[in-house]
Amino acid sequence: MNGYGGKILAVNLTNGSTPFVILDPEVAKGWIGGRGFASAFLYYAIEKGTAPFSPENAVVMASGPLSGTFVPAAGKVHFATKSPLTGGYGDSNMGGHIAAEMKYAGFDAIIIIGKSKRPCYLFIQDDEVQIREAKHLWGRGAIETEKLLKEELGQDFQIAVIGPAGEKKVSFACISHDFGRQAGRCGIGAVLGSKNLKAIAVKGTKGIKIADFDEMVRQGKKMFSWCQEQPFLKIFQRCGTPVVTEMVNQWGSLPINNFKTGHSDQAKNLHAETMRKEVVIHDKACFACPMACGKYSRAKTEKFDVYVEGPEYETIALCGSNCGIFDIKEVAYANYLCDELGIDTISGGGAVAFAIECFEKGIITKEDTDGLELKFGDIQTFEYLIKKIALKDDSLGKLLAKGVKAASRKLGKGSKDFAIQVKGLEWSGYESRDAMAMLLSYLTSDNGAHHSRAWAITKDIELGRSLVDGKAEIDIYLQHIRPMFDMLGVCRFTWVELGIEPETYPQILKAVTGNDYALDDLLKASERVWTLNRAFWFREIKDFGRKYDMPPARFYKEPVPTGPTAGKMPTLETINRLLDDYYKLRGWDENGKPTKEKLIELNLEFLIPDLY
Amino acid sequence: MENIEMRKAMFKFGKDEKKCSGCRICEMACVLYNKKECNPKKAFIKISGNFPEPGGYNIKILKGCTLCGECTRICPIGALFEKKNPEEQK
Repeated sequence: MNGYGGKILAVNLTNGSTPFVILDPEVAKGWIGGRGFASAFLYYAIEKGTAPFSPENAVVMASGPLSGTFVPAAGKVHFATKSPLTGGYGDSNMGGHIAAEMKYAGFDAIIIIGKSKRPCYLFIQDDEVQIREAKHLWGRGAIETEKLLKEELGQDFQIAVIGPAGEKKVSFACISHDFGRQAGRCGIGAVLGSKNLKAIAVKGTKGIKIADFDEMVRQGKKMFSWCQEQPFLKIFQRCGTPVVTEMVNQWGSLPINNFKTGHSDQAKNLHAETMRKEVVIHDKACFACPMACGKYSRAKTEKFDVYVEGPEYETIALCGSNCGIFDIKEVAYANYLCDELGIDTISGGGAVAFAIECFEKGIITKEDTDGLELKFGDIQTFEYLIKKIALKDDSLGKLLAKGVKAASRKLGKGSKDFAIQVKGLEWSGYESRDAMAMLLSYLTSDNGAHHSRAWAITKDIELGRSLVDGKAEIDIYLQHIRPMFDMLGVCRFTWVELGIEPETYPQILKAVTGNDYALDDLLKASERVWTLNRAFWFREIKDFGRKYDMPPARFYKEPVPTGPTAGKMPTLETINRLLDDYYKLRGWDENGKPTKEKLIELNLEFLIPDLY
Repeated sequence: MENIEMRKAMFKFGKDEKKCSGCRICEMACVLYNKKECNPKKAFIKISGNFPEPGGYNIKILKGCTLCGECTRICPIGALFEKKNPEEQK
């Protein structure tokens, strides 16, 4: 099948079976690939009410039709599961080289269910699929595990792994790959851990059949040349995602000390140029990516000496400023700890910051912390807490390992007001009390408080930050176009950072697959996926609805105390108005449930019995 | 050096491994041009990483290199380039 690997692998770890099915061309046309496959296959693969850590839960790993082809940044792989952190739709994607490798082995997606009796890893070499013993890897760090498996199998294998946090079922454990790429969000690594699956190793030698080879080469060369001509390319190559750190701090949107405020004069110590000078060794790219936004670093002080990919902006924001840490070497060290332990740096940083604020308020005391005083701005505090969380070796570690929402419900004493999350997913790197499009983006993101579906803050800056009118429309547009890239298996940064025309993609998609799409067709497919994911939440959570789209009280009870956004805060009325506008434009009812009419319009009528 | 093509390649093309970001577009450009296939495993150039320590990449030109120069033209970061003057050929 042109453009696709052509097969879907179904792995049952309980009985050890690894059958595959041929990809149905109609499924490919409808759900495109990547995020579309992950969402659709997850919905079908698990029964309503499946417990996230039960063997019946599924993890879907999917490449896109452009993954592994001659398209800039065609290296994205998408994961989905029922999240142990949120209880709803959980997904995350990452770059690296494994999406291309899956395709070269002939697989567009891998669906993993069941539970192995013993630690194991999945071995794939073209058509050969085995579930292998992983006793020698269990308990090891994520970086160490990837290194050992590469030594064992060969450097040509592309490998995704979990760390000790995944094994211990920390609810925000990540999946790591290529020594620094992570599918970090929603605890998918913990679900793999619950299945005793330590790693997935893939090698493919078959290549990909292309519908119109010469046309793909012609268009691909045009795209690569276009990227080379963009003045911002050199800047992005040099700085990577931390290019925004300075700007976000100027906007007053850099999370500081558990989102108490959004600006700090100390943030200059975290700027991209500081990082480049202090820790970066070289640039590190995902498959076929001219932007090379990954920065490989060495952080060396008297106390530590570590190699790590990063820190990315999100890690700087959550493990750095949000924990009060304004030393780029310490942030790189915090990054290393999370990567080796197998913890999402966003949720990990959020959980640490939450715990420190609890300590400040006397909700957690020295009795809980082996006598250690928890402080913002203290790398020792960070290290102590992140290891407690990863290893779950006492009650504090176990508590925080469930995420800030669950921890605050147990701790009480008003801590839920500053448990910074939506739907149970810790909030990523943008303080949004004076950025209504960005705020709404967080409230409505289909996996919880994550920025990537609609990085709308630039629109707030452009159009007026406190403005409400028109913000829902902006978010919906972004929530369709950005996930479109996740369906195709390419990185969106070519569009976000370099400004490539989105219309380019249906053209090269036709050359690769032979399927004729207009951009609107792809955006409509994106809307179908968005709506399917919303339906997943309603199917899985009995009382799901508007109340799950609300921010913590800090965002409407505490005006920003300092910085350029001082005094700003939306009212509850404003937040509800944003949601009203959003639901109406989406064709959802006032509780945020997709209407029957909308489901029929999107050819999703099969969801009606699950929702009505 | 394993064969004459590789020696020629090293003479005609330059590489700066410190700049290499490991994107492997060169492998793709090579195989698209020389084999008319979308399959980097068959390329005449190979990139390998040195992770986790000390980082960085190695660029190896393999037996069969046709001196087409596609890899130098696609490299987005200046790690592969065509030598233009005698000084660079030393």
